[in-house]
Amino acid sequence: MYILGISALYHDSAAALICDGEIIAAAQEERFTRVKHDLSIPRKAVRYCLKEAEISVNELEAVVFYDNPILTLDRFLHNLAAAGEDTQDLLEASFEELFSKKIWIHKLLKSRLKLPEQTKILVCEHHISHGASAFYPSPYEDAAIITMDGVGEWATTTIGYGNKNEVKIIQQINYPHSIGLLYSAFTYFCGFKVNSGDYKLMGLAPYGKPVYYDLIKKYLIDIKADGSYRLNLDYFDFQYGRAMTNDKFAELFGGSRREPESVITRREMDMASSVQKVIDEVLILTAKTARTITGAKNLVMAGGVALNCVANGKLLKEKIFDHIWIQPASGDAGGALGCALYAYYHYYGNERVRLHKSDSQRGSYLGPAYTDEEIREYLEYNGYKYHQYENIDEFYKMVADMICEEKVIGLFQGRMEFGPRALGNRSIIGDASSEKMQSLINLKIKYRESFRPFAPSVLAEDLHSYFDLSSEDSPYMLLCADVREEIKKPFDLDALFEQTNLDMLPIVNTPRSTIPAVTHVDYSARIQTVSEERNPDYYRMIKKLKEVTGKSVIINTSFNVRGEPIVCTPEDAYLCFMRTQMDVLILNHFVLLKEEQVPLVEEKDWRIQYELD
Amino acid sequence: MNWTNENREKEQDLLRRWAENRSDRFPGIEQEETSYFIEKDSDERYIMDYTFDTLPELQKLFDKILADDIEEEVKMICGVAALKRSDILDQNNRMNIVEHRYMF
Repeated sequence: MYILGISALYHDSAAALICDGEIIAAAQEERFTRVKHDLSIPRKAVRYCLKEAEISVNELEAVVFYDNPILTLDRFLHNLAAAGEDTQDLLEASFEELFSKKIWIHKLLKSRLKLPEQTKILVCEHHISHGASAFYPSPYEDAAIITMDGVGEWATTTIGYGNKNEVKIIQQINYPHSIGLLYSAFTYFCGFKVNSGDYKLMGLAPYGKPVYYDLIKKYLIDIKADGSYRLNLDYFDFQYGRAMTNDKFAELFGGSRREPESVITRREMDMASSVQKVIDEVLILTAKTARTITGAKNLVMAGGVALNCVANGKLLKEKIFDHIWIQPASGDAGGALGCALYAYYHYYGNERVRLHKSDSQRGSYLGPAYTDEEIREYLEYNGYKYHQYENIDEFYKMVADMICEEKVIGLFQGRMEFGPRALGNRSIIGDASSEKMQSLINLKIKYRESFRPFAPSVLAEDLHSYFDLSSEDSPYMLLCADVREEIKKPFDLDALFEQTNLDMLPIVNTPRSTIPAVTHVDYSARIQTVSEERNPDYYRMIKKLKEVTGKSVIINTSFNVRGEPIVCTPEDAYLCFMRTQMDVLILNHFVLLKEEQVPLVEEKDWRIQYELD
Repeated sequence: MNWTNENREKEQDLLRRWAENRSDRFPGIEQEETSYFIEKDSDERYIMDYTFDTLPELQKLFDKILADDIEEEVKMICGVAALKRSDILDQNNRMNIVEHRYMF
């Protein structure tokens, strides 16, 4: 039984295909269209999923949409009613999209995906889609479920329970009260983009101090002991279809919003730190309540807030649950997977059979792969100079040597990752022990803000040699923990700030540990553990580095430049390689050296193609 | 019924006037409360078949899903607004994410 799940029309559109409960393929539309956060009906992602399974649309049992449009309409109408005489912006922002697209989702899917007229179309509640995406692929028989995001229909936070093939929501918090929207408000006010810049705020937080924490709790949010909360709407404007915050919010923080791309000041750093502390608190209290009301020993999570790996790391430390599993595609894209799985287990009443020792997410390597033959053809056709390695050991040795030489490598191999994180198949990698690597990759390769940290990929068995993570693994880069004491170097952020007059670049270039390129200014790191089971190629590559150097940690950042979706095809990878100061490109076992390539000549400046995120 | 593109703004105006008259309030902060969680007691709408072609069929969906406090008159306005826009399906306008407000 093939079921296709779809997310679209809100944030990240995606398609996911399952067969008899097994995940066959999943991908975000942006990877194919090259439009970051593309929210249109994911035609190309669907085409890929069907191709992967070698089926046509005629063989689909059902197509499931991850959100119920009429429930969204219900929220819209109540929002209008609450806006009273101030409905103009709300109507302009939502009316046409709602009545011309969302309500017509069944027709849109049929026409855009060329589905047969008799195709069964199902709609699934937004937070059930998230909850199902977290529970069904998890390794647990039963688990408490927490979902948190901006809003889906009405719900913004839910506590649920999953057991065998059932998923249910027990209690929830409804719009407009939303921890996700609170975070988005701070993202917006600090000069980053709503819907796409939240992770920048998270990266900024360690530079600041939570000096506004009390202020936020006094004026903006009331948090109860069980983790439930309400916002003080006097300080926000999102409920009127306008910008996230209003003048009163600005007054509270001593002035207007930071202009995008302008200098980041102490205020933004402290605001980021303060709201992070609030998120941590809400998540931990909610988890305690979830544990109490479900009695479950395991927790699974999804929703955009579950991508906050700092809060996840703190939650893990609290040891409220024995085990935690987080859906790697926790944002809206993952809803495509969740709604398909929910249809299979709940709507069609199938038994949940767990076929895998760990989880059934397949390492989240659920996107397209390219064979050596396809890559050779591509390189030959374009006349690009390459070296092919037949001997795998020699290949890994070459990669290890390049890393030691502080080369920056674009790594393209195997199936593309599903979710926002590159996990070794569409990654830029480099030497984690290099002191210059963080600013080099940020400024000359990714063309992004210098303050942003990089994540480490570490061999799973060496996790505790480098990091103080109270978990056996972190395969999806969703948990933060400090580097171990013995590898830390003295680092006084306050003193450096005074010396540098808040200039972040010299701070970034000051080593904090023996792996400075992946150690944030508060000694934290966003860890990916690499195991042979989930990604044998990537594992062996790092293993060889360990043999050569004794080190088993490398930098892993997504293979893209700022504003560009992560690369999908060899062509995307080659273009990104040539447009930046990357030294080496690896396409499966083909190696391309920058100095051997003919410089790229493009008619248009590629920077215009990718709007800054 | 023959739905046309004429007067597409009419339903927006009707909803605007309706909202002005309702002037509801979202629940706010209440210090005496111990919890803001809402119990979820029904799973009827977790997943459902979704199809309609006509106004009566859409009205049936509204009856099933919209809250009881949404008046019949408003359901009709929404139904008409949707049916008037069925032709949009033939267009393939790219939707772009916005950067200053949340997409909902």
